[in-house]
Amino acid sequence: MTFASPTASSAPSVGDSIVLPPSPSTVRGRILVADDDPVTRRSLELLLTEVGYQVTSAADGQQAQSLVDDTISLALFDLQMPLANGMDCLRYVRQRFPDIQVMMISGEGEIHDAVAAMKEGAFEFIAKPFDKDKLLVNVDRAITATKLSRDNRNLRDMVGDSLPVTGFSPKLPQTKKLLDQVGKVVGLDSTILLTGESGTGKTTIARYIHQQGPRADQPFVSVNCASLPRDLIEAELFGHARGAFTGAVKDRPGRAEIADGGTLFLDEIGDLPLELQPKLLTFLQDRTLQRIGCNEMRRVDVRVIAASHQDLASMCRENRFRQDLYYRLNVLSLRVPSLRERTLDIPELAQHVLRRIQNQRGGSPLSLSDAARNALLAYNWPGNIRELENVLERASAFCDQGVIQPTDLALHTSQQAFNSVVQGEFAPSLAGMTLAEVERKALIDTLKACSGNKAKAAREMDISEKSIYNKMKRYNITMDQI
Amino acid sequence: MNEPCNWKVVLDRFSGRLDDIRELLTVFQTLMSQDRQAMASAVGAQDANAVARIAHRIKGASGNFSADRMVQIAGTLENVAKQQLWDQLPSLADQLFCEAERLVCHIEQCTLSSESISTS
Repeated sequence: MTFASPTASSAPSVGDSIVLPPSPSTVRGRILVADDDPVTRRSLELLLTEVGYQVTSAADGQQAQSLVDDTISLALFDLQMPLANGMDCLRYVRQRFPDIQVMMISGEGEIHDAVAAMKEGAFEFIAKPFDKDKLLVNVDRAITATKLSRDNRNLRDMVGDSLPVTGFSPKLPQTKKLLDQVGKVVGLDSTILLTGESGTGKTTIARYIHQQGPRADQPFVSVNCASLPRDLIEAELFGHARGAFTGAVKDRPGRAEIADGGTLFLDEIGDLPLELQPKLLTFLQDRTLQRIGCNEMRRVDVRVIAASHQDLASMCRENRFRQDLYYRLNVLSLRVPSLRERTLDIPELAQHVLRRIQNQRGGSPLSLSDAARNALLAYNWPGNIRELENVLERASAFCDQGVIQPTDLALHTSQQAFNSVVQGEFAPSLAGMTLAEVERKALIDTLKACSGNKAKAAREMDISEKSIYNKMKRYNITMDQI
Repeated sequence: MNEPCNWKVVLDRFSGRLDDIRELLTVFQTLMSQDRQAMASAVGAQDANAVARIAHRIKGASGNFSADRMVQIAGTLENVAKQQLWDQLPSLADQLFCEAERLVCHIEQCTLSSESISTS
């Protein structure tokens, strides 16, 4: 007898990576099995799927690392594998997915290495040939440990201490600068003006400043000046006396009074009606207010944080916003960068959003495929974090097996709408411009469209990245202009 | 000569599912076919690391069938390769693949016997 290759088409070939559906209807967890020995790999797949686990398998260390994501509950790594050995894979998982437990598969004579792996954070090691019962007990324990670790992390996320500010990771200069500024103002009592595009997280920053400041145990009261009807906003903000107007059947405090001792957050302050602005100015100057229909002056002790996506300075010039109110609000001004200015935050932010969706809906963990992650990074995000949340919520509803693919994100629809706006904005006549001016403008517009990414802009313009730098220098273009 | 594997342990490991055992045996045959060629090349090229790596993999694979003798030969081959005792390698490699063929035949017979027992 010789070992000719089997002819059965159903036979898995050596080196295949496959995802096996579990036999029972209930999935107990997803396990990554990595071993270059296809017999051991298949043996583990059969044993684990029989008791209800879903198994993903890899034939080498590099493939194993590429398959690790947040949907994995346990990784089983053989110590000796080509391309990246079990210890390399263990370190990779501990560093990037610290919640996922790792068990090492060791052969005879590798116990010393297996013990070393445990010192580096492996949950357990199983020696070949493995004992089925012992294996299943350890797998169950490890998956429970992963779940506990994830639950713990989710709880920390919910109370907001996993990042300095949820959704803002200090990895980029823009974000770091903002967080440094936030850190300096949380302990102060001065009025803060937050500026930035819609959906950038101004409310999150305001809430964080409140939570970290001395008024944290007092109320945080938010008023969205854009969403309240014009004729109700004064009553909502400052309260009213009984009989002050039709429907005022009893005395009612306004949001400013309710916030007494805490923080009053005035969102979309640019939409505050002009006629109401003097009353707010008085309140900011004296911290006193009068309910509608009441002569009594009430003193309120609040910290005020205002936010706007509009350019209040321009509005002042156009007499749409009172300059004295602007100065009173603009004591400490913080600009919240747009999402395209902090693209490196996107993966972490996306994971946070997916964990929140999963917590709300229950069910299997949600994750992004590499291609989907790249699509998120390449997108322009005109709607910022709010758009990201909506995109992920929609994608999580349509994705298969909890893994979001680029098609689930449907970013092209939003991109088309965005492109039409951008093209309209950046396509005035070039007549009369010098060639140098045209080139300068083309460079600036392309860099803007690429969110300042010079490599991407170089590809778009079909020139080298070095040429981009040279032209930026020649035309005196700085990143502030992008 | 002793039986090449402990069939009772194999049956127990896979909870008596003969289809699973057959499938695993197919994977094992494919591996042996590939590794036999790879081993011959590695021995010919006196690539000690490659011989040890292949022997190590076969040791692990045969352990799934409780094939103690094959595990033992593969383990010896791995050690001999690490010590670069080139004169011993060819015969050990032959022994290993002969034992693998014996193992496959034995498991095929055992699955057939077990099947006829369960259907009778």
